[in-house]
Amino acid sequence: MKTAVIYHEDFRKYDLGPNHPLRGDRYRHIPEVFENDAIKTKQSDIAFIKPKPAADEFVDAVHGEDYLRYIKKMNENGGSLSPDTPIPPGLYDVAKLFAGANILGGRLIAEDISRRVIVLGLGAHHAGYDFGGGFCMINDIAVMIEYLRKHYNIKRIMTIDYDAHCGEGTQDIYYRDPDVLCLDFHQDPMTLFPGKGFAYQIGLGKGKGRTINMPFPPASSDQDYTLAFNEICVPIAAEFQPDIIVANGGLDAHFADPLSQVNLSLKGYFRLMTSIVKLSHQLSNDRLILIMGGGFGPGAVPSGWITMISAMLDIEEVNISDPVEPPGYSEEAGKQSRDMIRKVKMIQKTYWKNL
Amino acid sequence: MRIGIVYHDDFTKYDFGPGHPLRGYYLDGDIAFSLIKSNKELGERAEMVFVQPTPGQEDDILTVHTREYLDFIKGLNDEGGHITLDTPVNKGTYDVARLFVGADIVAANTLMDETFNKTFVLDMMGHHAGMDFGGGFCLINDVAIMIELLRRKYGLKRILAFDYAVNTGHGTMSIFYDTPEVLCIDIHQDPLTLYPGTGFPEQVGRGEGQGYTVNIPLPPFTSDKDYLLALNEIVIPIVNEYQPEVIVMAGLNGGHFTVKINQFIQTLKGLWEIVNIFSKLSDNLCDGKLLHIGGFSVDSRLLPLGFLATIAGALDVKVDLPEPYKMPSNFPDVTSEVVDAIQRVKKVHKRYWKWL
Repeated sequence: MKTAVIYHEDFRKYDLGPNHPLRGDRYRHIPEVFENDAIKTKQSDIAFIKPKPAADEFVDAVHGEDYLRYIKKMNENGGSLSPDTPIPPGLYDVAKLFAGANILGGRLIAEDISRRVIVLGLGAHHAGYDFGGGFCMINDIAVMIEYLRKHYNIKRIMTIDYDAHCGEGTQDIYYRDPDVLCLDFHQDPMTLFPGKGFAYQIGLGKGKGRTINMPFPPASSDQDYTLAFNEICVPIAAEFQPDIIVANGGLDAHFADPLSQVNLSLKGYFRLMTSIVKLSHQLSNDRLILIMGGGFGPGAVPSGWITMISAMLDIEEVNISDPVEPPGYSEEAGKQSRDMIRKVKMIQKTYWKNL
Repeated sequence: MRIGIVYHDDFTKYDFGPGHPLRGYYLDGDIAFSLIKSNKELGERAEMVFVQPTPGQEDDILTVHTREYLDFIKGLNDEGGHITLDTPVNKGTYDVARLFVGADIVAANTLMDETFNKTFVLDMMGHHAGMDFGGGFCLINDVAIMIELLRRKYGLKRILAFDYAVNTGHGTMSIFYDTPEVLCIDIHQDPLTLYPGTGFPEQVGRGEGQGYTVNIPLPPFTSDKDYLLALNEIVIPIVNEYQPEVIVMAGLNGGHFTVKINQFIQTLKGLWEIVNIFSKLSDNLCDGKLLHIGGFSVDSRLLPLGFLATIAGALDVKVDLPEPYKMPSNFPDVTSEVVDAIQRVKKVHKRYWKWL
């Protein structure tokens, strides 16, 4: 079964303008990704597929109707969702293309055409039920999740969000939902947008314990993430037994990223993605969709993409190096990370026997 | 008429320390008392009783906040720390927040058992705190806890919470986002220009609560007359249609033109007008049951006058409200932007409110 790679050249139109960190030209590096030697050897395992925009009704299933009317109007005239999120005219159409890409990826998996899917998309995890911001307008991840739940026998969905920023939009949408487990690695929200995603924020009502926030101190590095993955994600995932795993893979936790201060190296990213692949092999019958998210620096594009895709293709070692020597392990951040992991486990063990 | 004024000396301990923007003043009970007594008509109109609150109980707090969040806050109370960058917690801050809770609760109880016709709490409200988040200088949402008490203990089904502080009360609205039993109306400065960056008209509540959150963002330099326009065009028709059983309002003089941490340019007369409108609404709709929260100001000269404006507005007594500072004459006129902002809100809420 081939690994599907979903991409559309119109993704480039998701461009928030000059002087904004999110420019459409980040996608211009995509051809380079598939020129990589190791990935080339797997060429016959890859199927490239072009998506169509999601139909309005699938977007409507996620967001509030008044918010939808508002952003559809903004599609004509442009506007602003927050000071950091200017909206040029036509952006809603592009956002729907990302949502359509995710839906297509989800369908390929649900219909057993492909097991693993890579969407070179957006992962707009800051958009909530009726709010946007953080460069996001519609939550394309949630659009896919709702589509899959409605059309297929997929009930339990696990998202692993390792963008450096907390995915508070996705969490907002599923905060009371016991069937969507949100595991979220991010930089301590005390020090970074969106200021949410603390360890004690665990979901509400029936969704209590279904949001797992892991706030890492600035300067956290590869082995801190590995420890959290092994100590928190692995036991919880095994207990949850997901039907599908959704990796919301931001590359901005890379040390060279200008917008955040987590110090993952490409090796760290590779190990993290490999661990997720392994988890999906053990738990969800290899059903895994990787939605590429943020990432704005030279560590992300294209080398981060090469790293993640290599892991998805079962390449055993990534043959690409960081642009400069990684800062490596910080004792201080390591200690704080261990404290954080202990705290998360203490809070979450009310909800998870395995912890 | 009997009015209750809830006050405690320890309110002043809700203080984030030097260098923090939230340094200010709580109205002293004695000053409040003498202010009211100094006006003959006010003194005659109302019999005033001071009430000293006791701290709210953990059981009350847990009707709103999660156990996990509360444990976190209590840990900070013992050791100090931060909730968010803007919200340091000093030892004992939670204890004062509990006192705010107790103050709101005694105000609600004495209003409901008809000890008083109207009650005023001279504290600051934690309207930025949600079920499991704090920030914006807030730890515990005392207003929401009190509203939960009104629902649970008195079985109220239609509570109006009007928040006229200049920053969106996003904590309170998130807590009641999915219920029609609490109507949250919030007039605030455009969140594109001010903390907390949320509170847009399209955010209307969710599920059964859809339409029962009314966000009214107005532009910087909104003046008294602009504010009144929003009240007349949006708030009054909705409140009349909702028919609340009690009106809770929270604010004070935060939008005054001298307050530097936002850009509204209201005056004391404007404050009188706002409270007067809601007091009359309460008289017409819910036997005068009005609970007002707010006794804090960043300006010591403004504070007593703001309180006077509030009480006098609530009792419908015209008083002299001399501005302590001269109002600059060069503020821009933003009425046309305000009209647009009002239209945007009305367009959204027409679906939910027939009388708009």
